[in-house]
Amino acid sequence: MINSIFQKKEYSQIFWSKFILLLLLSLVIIFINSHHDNFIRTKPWLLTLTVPFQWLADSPKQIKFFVEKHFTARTNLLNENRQLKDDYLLLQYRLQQITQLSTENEKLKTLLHASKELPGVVKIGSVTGISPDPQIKEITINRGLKDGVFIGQPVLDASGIIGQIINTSYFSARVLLLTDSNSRIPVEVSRTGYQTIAAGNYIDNLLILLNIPDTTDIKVGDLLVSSGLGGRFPANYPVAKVTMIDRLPAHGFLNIQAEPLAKTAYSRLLLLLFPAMNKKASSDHETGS
Amino acid sequence: MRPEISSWLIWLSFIPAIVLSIIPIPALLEYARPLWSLLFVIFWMIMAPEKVGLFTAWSIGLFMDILTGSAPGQQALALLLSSLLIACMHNRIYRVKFPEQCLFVMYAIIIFQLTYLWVGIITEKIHFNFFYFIPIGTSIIIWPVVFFILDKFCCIYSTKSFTSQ
Repeated sequence: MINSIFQKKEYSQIFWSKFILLLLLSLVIIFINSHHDNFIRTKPWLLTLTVPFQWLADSPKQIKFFVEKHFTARTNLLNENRQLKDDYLLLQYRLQQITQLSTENEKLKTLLHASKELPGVVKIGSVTGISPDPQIKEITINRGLKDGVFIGQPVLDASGIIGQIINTSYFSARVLLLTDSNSRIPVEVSRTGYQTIAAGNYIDNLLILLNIPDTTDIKVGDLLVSSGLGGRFPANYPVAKVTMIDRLPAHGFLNIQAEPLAKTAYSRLLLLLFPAMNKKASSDHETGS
Repeated sequence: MRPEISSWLIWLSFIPAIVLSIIPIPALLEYARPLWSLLFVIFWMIMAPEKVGLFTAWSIGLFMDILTGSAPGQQALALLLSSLLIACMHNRIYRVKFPEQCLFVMYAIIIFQLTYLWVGIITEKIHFNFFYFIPIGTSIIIWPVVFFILDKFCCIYSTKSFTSQ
């Protein structure tokens, strides 16, 4: 019966009209999405459909964690506990210093009549998936609209900025990493205050500084912090460390590579930063900073 | 004889394909990941063409786009074009011996990967890299395994008894 499908004329007509319809539909989707970035992104239910699959794909890792959690030697746990306690003490000590510094800073700011910076609020999330295409550097996290996550929100880990939220569903969100070729972040060299833009690339997990004149004071090992320009990323968070400076005499510009401080592939836990103005998100937060 | 297999079992079999295509693997192997969803779609288009057609292929492609973060329409178009080949050549693909069938499957995989690459490049999602041709090799290597396993799946769950080719 089916072997004669394409001999029958009416079948063939339905087949080809179906094909042309789907072809046009996919071309329209590709076209619209390349011109209006928010076409798919503003529809959270689309991404919500994929959440069960993310859970399934993440389950082997979760099982591994579960096994590790329940079958760890007691001595290991005791050692880890002691280590964590030591770290906690050290961090508490640093916090004391920081509290002192921040009060001092606030006093100085009132002297200068500068505007007060409101402290933001953070929430902890964890990585549930990594994009299978190596050139698309995106990760999925287990926090979504129900936690107040919004598009454009900065995401950090313990050592620096990782990226920003580009797509949200009710239970998950997608993070565009700084190292993606479509990602740009305004940074400044913390030693000199020189401001520039760090861009991701598609070859490796490094950042590239764009259009730096030959005469700029920049060295290997310089720390790059976010400058806060543009208002998307918060100011003064560590981003990357300069690893290579290539001086091309003919160009007049420097070729600079920087290594991001956040180790995305390995860090399971992430911090989602909520700006202080966001009342809705801050009302049900877990940790204040 | 073709197997008579219920639609929901076919849909159920796409779940492992989709999960396999996003499951985390070491970064070095990432370029070599076989195109699981394409292989599963091809199998069902050969075995059950009245149940899995262009629309199924296209919608699975669109779902994969949303799931993996590729440009929307990228995998949908790629799956549509490669399934067009299978649908048009179904008469031959279904009758020929397995090695020749593999050749047709390889053509479909090449069409998929070229379309994926082309759409990715024009939407500036990805850049050209020869590593993108690795999945063609790994997919065609893994195809006999996929075929064998899904064939057994058909044998077990088919409502009519059928003889595998």
